[in-house]
Amino acid sequence: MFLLRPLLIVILVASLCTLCTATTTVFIDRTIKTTGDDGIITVHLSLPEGVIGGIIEVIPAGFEYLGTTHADDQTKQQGQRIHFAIIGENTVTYSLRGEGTPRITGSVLDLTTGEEEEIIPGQKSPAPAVILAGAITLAVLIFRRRYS
Amino acid sequence: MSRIGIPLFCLVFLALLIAPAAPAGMSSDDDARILLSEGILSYLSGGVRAPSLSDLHDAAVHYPRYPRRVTDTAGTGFTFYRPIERVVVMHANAAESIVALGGDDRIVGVGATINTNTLQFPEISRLPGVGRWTEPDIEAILALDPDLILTYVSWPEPEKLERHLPSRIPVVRMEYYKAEVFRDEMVTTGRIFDEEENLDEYLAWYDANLDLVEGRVSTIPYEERVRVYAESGSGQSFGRRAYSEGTGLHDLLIAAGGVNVAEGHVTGYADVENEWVMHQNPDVILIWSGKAGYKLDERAEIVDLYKEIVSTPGFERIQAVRDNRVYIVTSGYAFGTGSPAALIRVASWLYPDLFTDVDPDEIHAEYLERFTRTGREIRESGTFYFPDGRGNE
Repeated sequence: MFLLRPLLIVILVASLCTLCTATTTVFIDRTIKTTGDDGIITVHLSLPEGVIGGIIEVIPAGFEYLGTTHADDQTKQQGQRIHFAIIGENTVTYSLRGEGTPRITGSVLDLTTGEEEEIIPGQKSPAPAVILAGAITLAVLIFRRRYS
Repeated sequence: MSRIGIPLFCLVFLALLIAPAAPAGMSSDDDARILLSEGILSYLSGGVRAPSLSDLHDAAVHYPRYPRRVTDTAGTGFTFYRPIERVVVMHANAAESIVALGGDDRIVGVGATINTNTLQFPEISRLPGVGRWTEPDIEAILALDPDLILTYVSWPEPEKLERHLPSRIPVVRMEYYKAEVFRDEMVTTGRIFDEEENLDEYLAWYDANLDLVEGRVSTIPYEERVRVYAESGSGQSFGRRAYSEGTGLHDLLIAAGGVNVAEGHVTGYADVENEWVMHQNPDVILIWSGKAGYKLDERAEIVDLYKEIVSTPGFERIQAVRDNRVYIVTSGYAFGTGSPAALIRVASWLYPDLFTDVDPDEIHAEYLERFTRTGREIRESGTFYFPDGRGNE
């Protein structure tokens, strides 16, 4: 019986985490890397698994879109706007040329919910890694407190 | 379980809960991927013809089964973003095909020829009527809120149908009675109704019977082929109504290994002089009738048609009449989903020695059993061809 309590707490935390991840909209992480001195910039977008939807990336003036590793038939350039159709892919990488670090704005359309969200530059999704770390910490604390 | 084991179990359990589930069947259908990508990109670009958010949302939910694209016999392309659930069917040929593929539970309204065909369509004949296949009842159609209408390529004319409908209701135009497009139309129907499994089953039966006939008649030299005169009775203005290239009856007799004596003389349906028929002196006369079949009370009209032809003055000199090789096939037999059974029947009339081991009636009975919803009365009393050995010849 004394082992049941931490188990129940962990299950409760896990359930809450699941609820959180199920109800939050799609989080996109954007990483921007400048490689070398040739002005080539690599933009890497990370998506959760299984997303179906679209991403619009708006590149600021002074930067030129060079290309992407995303499928050609899932990519469309419209001036400084780059459109990506996402069908289950969890990464999109594209490259730009220009000086400095671009202030890219973007938005994501999640077709499973029908919601459109802005991609906030540099923001990391709190789920699932942060929630998982929190839950593990909580479980360890309970374990240590109970048996120390 | 050890003290360390339980927290470890908890953590594994936790990780499994948080780990995102892999989407089922995510990578199976490239057509769906391309269509969905096109739709998403068009939507993001604000394209004039972009699908709605609702369409894309439904397609995402049903991916990779949807979206799917089909092209009808009129050459019009349609993209479906979700399963079709409410279908209005204007003509019996289409209804027969949908029934054969098991999609009839999605029919919500039917044309008058389906309403009156209670033995062929015991269930869907009771559905609300939507007018005749030439004269649709627009109000009745709109009241049913269909998500698809199925009709002939040329009838009703678009001015009578599409013009009065909102653009969200697709009008798919297919014939189902012309051999040259029939198989493609069945494939299209299978995709529209998401009944690919039943389609495969039907096509296996269809192909096997067509292959059987082709395998036996294809090697017959042209000069040894049976010469057939095809018609439907008296002409509209004079003589007889001959069927040549471009008609379903022509396709049927050609597939059965025959030579149409009217080919090159007339095209399509045309009146010909009695004397011309006598001069052709065909080996076989093949007649089409729209009567009988699934209508049990119309046998007498088939018998009368037969008697009228064989007793036409001068026809007694025609080889086909002298040899008792005058045959009638009905619409519900010769064209559409049951046509492989009729093909074997006609081929066995033309080349009886090649088909002694095949029972065309057995093949037709199998068709009725597997691909229709007809009852025992049709199997026992339906007149699908004539003479059928049940008298009145």
